[in-house]
Amino acid sequence: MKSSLARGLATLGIATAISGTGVHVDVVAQEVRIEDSAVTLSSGADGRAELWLQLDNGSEQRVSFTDGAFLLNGEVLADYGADGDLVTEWRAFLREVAGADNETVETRMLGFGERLSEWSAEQSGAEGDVGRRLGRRLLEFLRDVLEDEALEVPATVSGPDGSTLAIAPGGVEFDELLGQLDLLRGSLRQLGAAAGEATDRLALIVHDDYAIEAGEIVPGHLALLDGELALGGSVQGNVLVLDGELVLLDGSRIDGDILQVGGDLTLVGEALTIVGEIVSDFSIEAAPTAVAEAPDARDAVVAVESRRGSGRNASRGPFRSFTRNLANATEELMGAVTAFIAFGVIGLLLVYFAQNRVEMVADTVRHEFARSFAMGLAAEVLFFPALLILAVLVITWPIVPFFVLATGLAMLAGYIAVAHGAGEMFAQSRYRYEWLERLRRSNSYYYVLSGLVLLLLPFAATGVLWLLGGTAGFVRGMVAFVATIGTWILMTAGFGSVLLTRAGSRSVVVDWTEGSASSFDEMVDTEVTVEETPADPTPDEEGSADA
Amino acid sequence: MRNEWLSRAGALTALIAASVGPIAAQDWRDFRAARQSADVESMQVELLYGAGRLFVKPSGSSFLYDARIRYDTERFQPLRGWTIEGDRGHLRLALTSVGDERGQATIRLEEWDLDFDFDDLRFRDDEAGELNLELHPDVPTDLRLEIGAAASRLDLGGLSLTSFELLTGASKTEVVFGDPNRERMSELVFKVGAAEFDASGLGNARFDRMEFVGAIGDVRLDFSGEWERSATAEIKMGVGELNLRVPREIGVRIERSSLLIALDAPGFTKVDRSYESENWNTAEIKLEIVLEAAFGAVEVERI
Repeated sequence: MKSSLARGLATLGIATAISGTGVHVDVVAQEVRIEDSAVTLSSGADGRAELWLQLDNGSEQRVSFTDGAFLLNGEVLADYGADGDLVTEWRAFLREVAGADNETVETRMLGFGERLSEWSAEQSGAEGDVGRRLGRRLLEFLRDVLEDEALEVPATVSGPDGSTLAIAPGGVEFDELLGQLDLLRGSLRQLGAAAGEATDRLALIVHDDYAIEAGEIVPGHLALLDGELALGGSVQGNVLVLDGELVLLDGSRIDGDILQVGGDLTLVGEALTIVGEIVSDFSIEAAPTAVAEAPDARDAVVAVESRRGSGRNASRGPFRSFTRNLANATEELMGAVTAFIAFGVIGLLLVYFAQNRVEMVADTVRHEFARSFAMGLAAEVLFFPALLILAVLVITWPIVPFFVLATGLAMLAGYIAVAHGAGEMFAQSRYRYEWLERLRRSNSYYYVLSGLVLLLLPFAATGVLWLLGGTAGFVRGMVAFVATIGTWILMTAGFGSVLLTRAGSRSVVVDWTEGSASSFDEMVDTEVTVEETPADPTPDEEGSADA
Repeated sequence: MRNEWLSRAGALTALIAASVGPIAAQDWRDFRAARQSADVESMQVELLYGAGRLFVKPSGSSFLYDARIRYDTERFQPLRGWTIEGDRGHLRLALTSVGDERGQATIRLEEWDLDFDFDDLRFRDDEAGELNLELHPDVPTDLRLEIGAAASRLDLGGLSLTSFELLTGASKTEVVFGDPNRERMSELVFKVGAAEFDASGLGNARFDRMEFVGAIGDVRLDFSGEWERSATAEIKMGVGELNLRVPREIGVRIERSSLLIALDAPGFTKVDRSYESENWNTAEIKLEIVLEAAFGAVEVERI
């Protein structure tokens, strides 16, 4: 509708009046002649102020302010209001051109077109003043009405052959476009630099189909922007394929390289020569598994896109880095949670079926950590030699799987026992903070679970550190290293404790405070037989095997 | 309270889902570098490929080389360099981790000092890229491949390899000499880490000397093919199973230097520290194998 308004005003030649304000308005006025005209002014309820024109192309135009609305040929273009300045100026303008003094006028005007075209900025007198005032008001009106909508006006570009090209505005960020143009400019600069001395000899093929026949020579570089180029002759330089299709025929020759940044390249025939290299690099959307083995190069059709100056920094924005770090953090946290669940289930089962043994092993780790670790380390060192001996001695072959399985179970049970011990230490500690005190419980199930949380906490921390991005890489690595080493130490100690206590069946804990043992041997060899009892479903106040 | 917890859990789930989504979206590109047979009499090809699928085979066209790489731009960048010294061309092709600016990467390519981030290793098919390399069958070529974690099939039969060296880490590699090598190969070297390795048609390789170094894995070395001359093979194996398949017409002697190895070589006779096939003294063409292995089993089959 706004476009109709602009066209209507332009058609009427009111642009001539606007030009009287000295302000340039980009409205293209058609060259028309006014053959007849009439003015109607009424002071009634509708406050009609109408200008009727008959143009030399046979059309009629009727512009009016009626009842607060601005109409063109009876179509309401805009609501303006009955008492606005523009209406006042419009009525004054019509009175002036009609040569009437009254508010009510209905007259035909001869020679209106000539009078309208005679107005100019330099014109003085009442007519000029009226024209300028009206022009100013119209301009303000046009600005108000069209300001926000101007970009939505579809423009049409006419070609010499009568064809038209519609331009649909919107959808393209100008900065983005400029950025692409800068990129293109930079790429062309690089290409120009690469072209060396022959940059002044560049043939550009744009649109339509061309053929370079056999025997013809392009004395320089060639760029194909669109269309199809069938090359049977020679190119004494490089070829850049931006878009379109380049077909190399039998006998064709390219003295330089072919760089594809778009379009297609088809090699036809046996006797074509490319002295340089074919290089292409283009985006694809297909999954990588869709790639078959490379087809015959002669039939290759390669569409490519330039990818210069790329690198990790260039291709990865901060958002991508963040999402990647977030995914890594999630992955590691999920790993820690999964480990917790797996070890937790195993731990709960162990406590349920062998609570006393688990507590025995846990107590041994806590009170005889050094011995347990030394025992575990020795066992780990001797594991492979023992395995080799079992493997070499033919008669012991059947034992090998059980040996490996037993070792694995012992290490797992040791780790669970260490978690039990850690949870028990946590429960027996006193904390300054009330929320930590609330976490205190005292039964073996809780010990195992809370201990596992403590043991897996460093691994979860490495996950959280991912959120800090690359800057925390060193810290993350250190935490992961410490967590791994710490886990190995604890697992080794647990393993050793399992061995020392013969899977929790005897106590080797030395109570140094009692001083009742007369010798070290006596202390070490103190053996307590543990009877298996199912776990008490009610919480046990302390580890039952401490005694 | 429970509802609050549930809503937080839901929000966390949504956040995780949203964060994982963009990671799964990869930016794939196809890179190609090809060159017609230039005025070179021979060439040296060096390839560094970190992870994905790798295919090497003779070119069916007039291209001296034709390399096509499908890669994820989020992690990798293709590099290639081509130089000619005299009548010998030198192609360096690499798919390295992104991180360097291109200028620096080019320098590192020239110095063949390239890095590969362990984080960029991808083992899933939909995350791994692919490299197809075709080489001209008539141009004598020294080929050197450095492969990280990749599934490789190397169809080297029919090429004109004057030497071949393969270094690979944790990978599954299949080397096939389906047709005779067109040139005499001075040296054939395989150095594999933890790998599943299968080489067949090694007789077609027409090597003078072969060296195999394997750390851990299952290895099959098939020496079938059209033998032209005697050769030696030095095999060093860490832990794993080694299967040697040798044609019956080839005289074989295995010099064993091993720690704990079970050698199964039916038809072989122990002479001093060596095992000799029954036709060792009479065979026109002989393969002398020096075997060093730590743990595992070695099986020798006559085919």
